[in-house]
Amino acid sequence: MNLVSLARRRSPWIVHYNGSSCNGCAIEFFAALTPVYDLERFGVVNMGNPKHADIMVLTGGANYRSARVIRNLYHQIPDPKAVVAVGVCAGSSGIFHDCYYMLGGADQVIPVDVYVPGCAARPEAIIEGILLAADLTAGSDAGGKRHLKR
Amino acid sequence: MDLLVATAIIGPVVAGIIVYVFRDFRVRVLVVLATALLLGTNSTLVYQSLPFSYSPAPNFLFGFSLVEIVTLADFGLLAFFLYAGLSLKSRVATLSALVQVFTLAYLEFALLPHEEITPVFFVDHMAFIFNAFITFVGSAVAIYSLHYMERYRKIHGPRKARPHLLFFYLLSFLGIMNGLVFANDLLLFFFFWEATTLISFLLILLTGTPEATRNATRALWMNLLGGAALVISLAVLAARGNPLTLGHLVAQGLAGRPDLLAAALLTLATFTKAALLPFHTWLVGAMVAPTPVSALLHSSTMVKAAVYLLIRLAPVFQGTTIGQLVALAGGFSFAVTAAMAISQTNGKKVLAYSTIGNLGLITAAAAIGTPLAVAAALVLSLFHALSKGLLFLVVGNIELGVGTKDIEEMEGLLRKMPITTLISIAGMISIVFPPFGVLVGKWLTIEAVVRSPLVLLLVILGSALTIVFWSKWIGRVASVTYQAETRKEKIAAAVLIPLLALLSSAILASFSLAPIYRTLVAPYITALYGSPGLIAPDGQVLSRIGRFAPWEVFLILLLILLATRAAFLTMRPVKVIPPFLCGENAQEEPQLQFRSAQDVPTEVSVGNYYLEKVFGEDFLSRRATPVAIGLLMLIIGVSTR
Amino acid sequence: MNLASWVIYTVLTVLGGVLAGGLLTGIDRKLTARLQNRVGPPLLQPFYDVVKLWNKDRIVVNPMQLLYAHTYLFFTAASLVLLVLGRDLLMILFVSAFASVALVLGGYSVDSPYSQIASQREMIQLAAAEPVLILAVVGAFLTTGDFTVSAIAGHPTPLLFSLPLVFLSLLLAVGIKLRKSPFDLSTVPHHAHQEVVRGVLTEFSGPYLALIEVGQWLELVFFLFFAGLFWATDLRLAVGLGLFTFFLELVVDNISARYTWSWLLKTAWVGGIGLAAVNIAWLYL
Ligand code: SF4
Repeated sequence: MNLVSLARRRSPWIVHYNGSSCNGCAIEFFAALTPVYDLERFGVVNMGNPKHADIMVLTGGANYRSARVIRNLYHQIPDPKAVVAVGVCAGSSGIFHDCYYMLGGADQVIPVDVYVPGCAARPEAIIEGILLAADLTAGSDAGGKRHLKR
Repeated sequence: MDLLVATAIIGPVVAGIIVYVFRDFRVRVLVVLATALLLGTNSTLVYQSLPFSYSPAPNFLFGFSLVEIVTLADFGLLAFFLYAGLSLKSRVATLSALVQVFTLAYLEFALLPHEEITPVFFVDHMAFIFNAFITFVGSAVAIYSLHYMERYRKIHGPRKARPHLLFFYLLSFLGIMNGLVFANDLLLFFFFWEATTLISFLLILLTGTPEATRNATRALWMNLLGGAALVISLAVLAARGNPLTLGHLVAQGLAGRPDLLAAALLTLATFTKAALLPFHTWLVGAMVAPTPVSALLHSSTMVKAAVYLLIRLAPVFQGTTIGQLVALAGGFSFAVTAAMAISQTNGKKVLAYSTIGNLGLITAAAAIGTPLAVAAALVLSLFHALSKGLLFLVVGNIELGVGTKDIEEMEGLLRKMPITTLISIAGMISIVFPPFGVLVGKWLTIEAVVRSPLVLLLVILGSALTIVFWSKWIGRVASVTYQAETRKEKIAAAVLIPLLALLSSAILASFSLAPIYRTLVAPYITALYGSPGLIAPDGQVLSRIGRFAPWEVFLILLLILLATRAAFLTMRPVKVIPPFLCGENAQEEPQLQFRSAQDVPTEVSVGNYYLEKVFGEDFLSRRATPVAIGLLMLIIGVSTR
Repeated sequence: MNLASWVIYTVLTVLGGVLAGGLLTGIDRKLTARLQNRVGPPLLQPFYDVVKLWNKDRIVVNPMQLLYAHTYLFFTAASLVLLVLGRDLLMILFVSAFASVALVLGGYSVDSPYSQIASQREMIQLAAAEPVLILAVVGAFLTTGDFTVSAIAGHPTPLLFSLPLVFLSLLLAVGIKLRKSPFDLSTVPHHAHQEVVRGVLTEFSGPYLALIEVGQWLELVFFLFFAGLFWATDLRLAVGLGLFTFFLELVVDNISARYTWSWLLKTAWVGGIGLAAVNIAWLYL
């Protein structure tokens, strides 16, 4: 395992987008940043700026209007990058399924790498999802279970 | 000797007359180039015979002595001022002209039973420094104006442009300035001083618009007020039985018996000419004139006449209360104008305020009067002339190119006029950042005024604010709209060459600061004080209290350029993507847009803070002017003790 | 000093500065986390960040950004090197001001509203801190009679004894220069404040951001060094004073909210300059 992939795995910066959701998952995501769960111990920082981000965290599904925003943010993230869809809404539009304005899950707009299930997804699960995504950005030799051993 | 002095003074005036008589573009080009060449050669010769003095023979011209001719010319000038004052209905101007007439008559006929004044001209290293940059910057401005005025005439019409007049004024101005810095006889000095007032008045008036008339009137009455102070000061000197020479005034100062009243009145005169507070309005108003005029008035000649006198008087001020007060007033001008410049959107106005600020700084240094301070003042004068001359010319070119001098509208200029913009950025960097000469001057000034706490505080505040307004401007011209294409810029050689000459000389001179200091500045200060103020061994400037090696910072600049170049080769950006707009980017060409409320595409437009509430021109002016007037009255008052 | 030793000093200073700055930044983040009752990132986190950024995709909004990033890094490094070489302190301050201006210009060079606003703020921060810093240098001069760092460092008694108030004002200025709360107007290092996204850094990304990141480490070391000069008689105490400054800034960073620009200017000009001026006044008398 070389230095670069180590660094990539240890320093995933995030841009978060909250699509069509009930906000439950967004709140759980922020909970993961709070002292109780402390995402920063894995080097995770919520940058709020796609140009600094490695990982895009999506809560909520994509609708006709937010699709373009999601796409734009995704394209502004420099490679290597990964996308985490948090909650069933982001996965498959969840409780908003069949609403007239919904496109569906986030994967209808951009490629999603990690799905974190749950309604709402629990912070522990979100953390694991983000770290899995970080491992993905680090390259194939990442060994995705490393963080779970801690 | 006589030939050198005569060429420097009369040569440009004759050239001006030729240009005025033969109103042909080709003649103008030839004469201007010839004058530049002549003055350049002359300055070189002057340098080789430094220091020297020269007194014309008693039967100088048709049996008249120089004194008689100058006296006649003086009264002629004053008569014109009287006429101008009356016809422009300016009470102050008329009154000042009257005061000057009477004082001069009293001085010439009652006080001075025409004693012999020797030497009439005295040219030392300091006079040469001024002569050198008058020649250099003046020639650059004149050459630049050739092309500029043709374009100006096309845009504004022949009635406003009147290039033959402009060149007549411009060239004779150079001669007058040379006379001013060479003169030792104070009456002669007074004549040249008044002549600069006249020509600056005429230059501002050039376009003849109501605004120009108004501002020219203001320039006239303020400068005449200064002229009155000057002539009164001469009368005071003569009444106390002093020979009217600069050399005597300085010698008195060095001997520890300065004539303070005369010095204070001279200071008042310099404050008007240098447009320091409270007289700052005339120089800002002078901005209505075409660019070469402002460049000439501001950077190299007119206003430098004032600080020339102040730097000469440095030994008089050294260690006196008056000196401290003058330094305080200078520092005050520096800080206040730097603050005012922050709130200006008009590029030329920013330049004007920055000029006044720098003159204030030079004044502060000169009035402290120690060897180090004089060194600071001279270094500042020299480098400020180069950089500021360049900036004025560049702004003139921008104005002709994009039709605006508004800083906000210079956004994206880098793509529209890349060459001009790069030169202007370099020029702005050269006026405020290390390792360039102006900053070195500022650094020396701070070290020189360190024993005068209030002055120091003002200088420090001023220099912090200076960084702000220059950075703001640099940032605005360097900011680029996303993916707008870069245009090829057509730039005439007659414009490009003076610009490049000024820029490269500013850079080269900064780089070779040590040798320049050794050969030009140090001899003057050593001759005056017996010690050079600073020593400049190879590549370094050392004072007793500090040191600076320009090459170290130049090395860093070089490294930065190399590293950036290398980065372009090895880590070239693979993608150019639009700025982050919260994901709501709409359209990218030709104008960057984002989707605003209700999906309306809205253009991205960005602008500077101008902080009007804190740094507004009127707001500050209203508060600072009384303070400055008070300071001046205090200076005069203290001097009568 | 001959060329060889000059080069060696420069290389060692820059390397040492980068290592120390990175570590201090790591400590900063760890301690900040502990103050907030979190575990916090590992000590080497800043290095991971920079290595990662260095290997990201190279995107720009306009290629001039490269120039500004390099200018910032090199001028910051230069100011640190000149400090170590014992040059004129006043000139060093001007050099470091140029570094900040490079950042301002970097923010200006793109038409992003966020970075442009932040550039204005950065400039106000510059205007606020610069006079206070220069006054600190003047205070040092009045005590030691010399502007060069080598002479100031060689002074027999610690500067702190004659310049206690100047040191207080210096703490304020250092807080402004390091963009620590409550003076974090222009850009925020590693926090979740997102008022102007990430300020002047918004449009820098990947390796170019890494350059600036390293520049900020060097800037941190530079200002701690500056503070350490106030007790330069003993190396341990100098380091101690530098670290004390560091911890103080860190604690203040964690317990205060952000100022507006006018508050910032008022605090710095009235409080900072006032304190320094009083102290300097008693040196004159
Ligand atoms: S998954 Fe459940 S909690 Fe999450 S956003 Fe959808 S509805 Fe809300």
